[in-house]
Amino acid sequence: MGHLKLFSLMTIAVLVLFTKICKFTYRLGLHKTIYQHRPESCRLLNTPGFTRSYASTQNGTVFISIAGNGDNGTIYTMELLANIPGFKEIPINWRDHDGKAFDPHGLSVWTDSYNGETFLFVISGSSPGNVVDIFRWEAGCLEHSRRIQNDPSFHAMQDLAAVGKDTFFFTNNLYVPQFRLEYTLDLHWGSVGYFDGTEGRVVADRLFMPTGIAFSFLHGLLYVTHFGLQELLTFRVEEDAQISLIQTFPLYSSMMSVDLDEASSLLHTAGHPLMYKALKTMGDPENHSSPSQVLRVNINQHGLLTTITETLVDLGRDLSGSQAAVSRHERLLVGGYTRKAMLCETEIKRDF
Amino acid sequence: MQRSLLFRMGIVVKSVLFGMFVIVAFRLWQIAPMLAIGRTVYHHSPGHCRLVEGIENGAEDIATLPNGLAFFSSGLDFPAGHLKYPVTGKIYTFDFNHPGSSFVIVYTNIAIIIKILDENPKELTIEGLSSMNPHGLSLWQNDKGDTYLFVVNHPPNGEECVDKFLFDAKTNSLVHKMRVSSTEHGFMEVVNDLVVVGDNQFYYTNFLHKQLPVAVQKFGMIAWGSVGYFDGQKTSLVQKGLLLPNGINISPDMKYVYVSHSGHAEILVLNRLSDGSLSLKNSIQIGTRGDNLDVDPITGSIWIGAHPKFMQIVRYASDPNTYKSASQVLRVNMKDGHFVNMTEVFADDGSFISGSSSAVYYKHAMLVGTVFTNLMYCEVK
Repeated sequence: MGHLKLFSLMTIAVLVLFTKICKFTYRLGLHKTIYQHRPESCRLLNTPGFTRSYASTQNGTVFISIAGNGDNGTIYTMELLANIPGFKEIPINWRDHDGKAFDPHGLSVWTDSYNGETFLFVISGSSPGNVVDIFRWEAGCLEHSRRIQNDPSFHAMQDLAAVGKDTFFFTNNLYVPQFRLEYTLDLHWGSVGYFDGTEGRVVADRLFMPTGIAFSFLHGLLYVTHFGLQELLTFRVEEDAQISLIQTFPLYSSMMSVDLDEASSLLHTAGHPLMYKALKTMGDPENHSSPSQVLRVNINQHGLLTTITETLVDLGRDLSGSQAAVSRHERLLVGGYTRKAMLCETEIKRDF
Repeated sequence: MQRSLLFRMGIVVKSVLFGMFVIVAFRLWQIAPMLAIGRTVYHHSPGHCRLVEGIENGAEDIATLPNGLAFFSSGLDFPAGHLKYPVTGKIYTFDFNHPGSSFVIVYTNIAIIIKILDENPKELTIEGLSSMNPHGLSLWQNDKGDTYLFVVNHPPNGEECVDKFLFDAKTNSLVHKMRVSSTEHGFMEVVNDLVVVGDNQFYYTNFLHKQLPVAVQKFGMIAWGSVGYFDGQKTSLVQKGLLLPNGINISPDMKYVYVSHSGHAEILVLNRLSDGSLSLKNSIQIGTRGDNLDVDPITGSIWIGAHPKFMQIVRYASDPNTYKSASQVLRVNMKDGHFVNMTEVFADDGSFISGSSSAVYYKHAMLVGTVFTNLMYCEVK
C-alpha cells in the first residue's frame, strides 16, 4: 500500500512537471513564425538609453523612464504630437528627499480635473521596485511631493495606475524578485494592489506575472497586462477599491505594457513575440536583439475589449525587445531594449 | 518448439509495429510545423480594404497587364466535382485604373435611370469553348501587341488542360485558340498553375500525382509533385519530387522561375536553361503555405497569397461557405534571384476574408483573390 501511494505521488509529480515543461515551452514561443510589417510612415529615433516605460497625458505629453548606462535611470519627456518630437531630460527638484537612489521604472500620470495640476507617479528602485515617488509637474520641472516605501503590499512592483492625488493601483510582477524562477516554474505569485493614500493592500492575487496596468476613468475599469498567461485582464473597480474580474482577453503573445487612449477607445500593448529570444536580450541587451510587436485592441462602449489588430512587428533589426508603447491621435511611439524608438503615423481603421 | 516459434513471431510482429510507430511519429514530427498548430494570425492591412461586390465564388489566380488591367479566374471547383453547390467557371477583368464602378444618372421624361458606364469587375465572354473550370492563369503579349491568356482548366471528365485564348478588348471576350490536354500529354498530372514564356511555351506545376490518393500525398507528405514544360509540341518534366508545388511565375528578366513549394513552406528559385530545363538556384523559407505567386514587373518583388493555417484551409476547401481560413499576403523582395527581405502586407484570421490564394500589386493598390469565396481590393499606403 505504501509503495502504491509512493508510486501515485511520483506519477502525479512527473505529470505536473511535464505540464509545467509544456507550458514553459509554449510561453517561449519556439513554435511561432512571425513576419515583419509596420505602418507606412514610421521612422526611428535615437534614444538616450533603453526605454522602460511611458505615461502620457491625453494631449500627448509623454513621460519616459530611460535606463541609465550602468548607473541610475532618468525621466525624459516628449511632445508626441509636435511636428518634430524629441526627447528632453527633465530636471527634478528633490526638496527634502534623497534622489541618489532614484531609478525610475513604471510611470503613471494623473491630472486633477479641478485645478489642472498634473502629477507623475514613479516606481523606483531596482526592477521590479518597491518605492513610489510622486512628483508635481510644473513649468517643465518635476517637484518631488511624496515618497511611499516599506509598505508590506509592495512586493516587486512593475507598473502603476494613478487614480487620485496619492492613490493608485499597482502590479506586483513577482513575489520574490527572481524573474526566471517564477517564470520558469509557472508560479502564480503576482498580484494587483491598491494604495489608498495611507497604506496598500492586495486586491487580486494568484496572478502570473502581471505587468502593465491602466485605469479607465470613463468606465471605472482596470486593464492589466497578464504577461505570464499572454492575455489582458479587465477588472471592474468597486467603490471601496475592491476589483472583480469581468473579462479575460487572450493576446497569444508575451506583452508587457498597456497604454489606454480614452479619447479614441483604444488600448496599445507592446511586448515580445518570441520570448526565447527576448530572454537573451533581457540578460544582455548590448549583444542580443529580439523581435518587437505592438498590438492594438479596440474597446467598445461598455469598456470591454473586442478586436485585435497587429500594428507592427519588427524582427529585431530596427527595433529590439519592445516593452513600451504609447499612442495619441494616431501617432504611436514604441521603445524597448534598444537605443532606438520607433515613431509611426497609424491610420486607425475599424473595417472589421 | 511451437511455443518458441510463436515467441519469435511475436518479436517480429512487435518489431514491425515498432518500426511503423517510429515512421508515423517521425512523419508527425515533420508535419507538425506545417500544421501551424498554435499559430495566431492577427488582422492588419496596408490601408483601407473592401470586398469586391459580385464575386462570391473565388478569384483563385490573378494576372495583370502593364496597363493595369487584371484578369482573374472565378468559379473554380477543385478537385473537379467536390463542391456541394453548383458553380460556373468564369474569367473576369478588373481595371485598377477604375477600381470602383462609375455611373451616370440619366433623366428621362418618365424616370431617372442610373446607367453603369464602367462595370468593374467585368465578366468576359468565352468563345470556342462551352464551359470552364478555371484555375491558374498567365498572360502573354506578343510583339504585335496581341494579348493572350493561358488558363489551367479542369473539365468534368478528369482531363487536365491548358487553354490558350486571345483577348478581344473591344468585345470583352476570350477567343479560344489552342488546347494542351493530358489525353495527349502524359506529363500533365493534376495541374495547378502555369507561367507563359513564349507564344506557345509555358511551365506548369503538377500539384498532385494522379495515381495516389490526395490525402496520402498531403498528409503522408509523399513528394510526387513536379514542374512540367510545354515547348510548343510536347511536355516534359523539368523538376521532380516536389511536395504540392502550387503557384509558378518568372522574374521580369525571364532568368529565374519561381515555384511556390507549398508542402515545404518555401519558394524555389530555379535557373532557366536554354533547352527549357530548370536547375535549382536556391530556396526561400517563408514559413507558410504559399499559393499563387505574382511578380511585380517594376520591382521584381514576389507577391504571394498564402494559407497560414493548414487545417483551416483543408476544412475551408471541403465547405467554403461554412468554414473560414486565415489569409495572408507576403511581399518578398528579390535581387538577381536572391532573397533580400520579406514583409507581411496583409493578414486576417478569416473573419474578413478566407482562403487568400493570390495577390497582385499595381500603383498603391492591391487585389487579393481567394480559392472559393471573395475578392478583396486594398489601398496600399
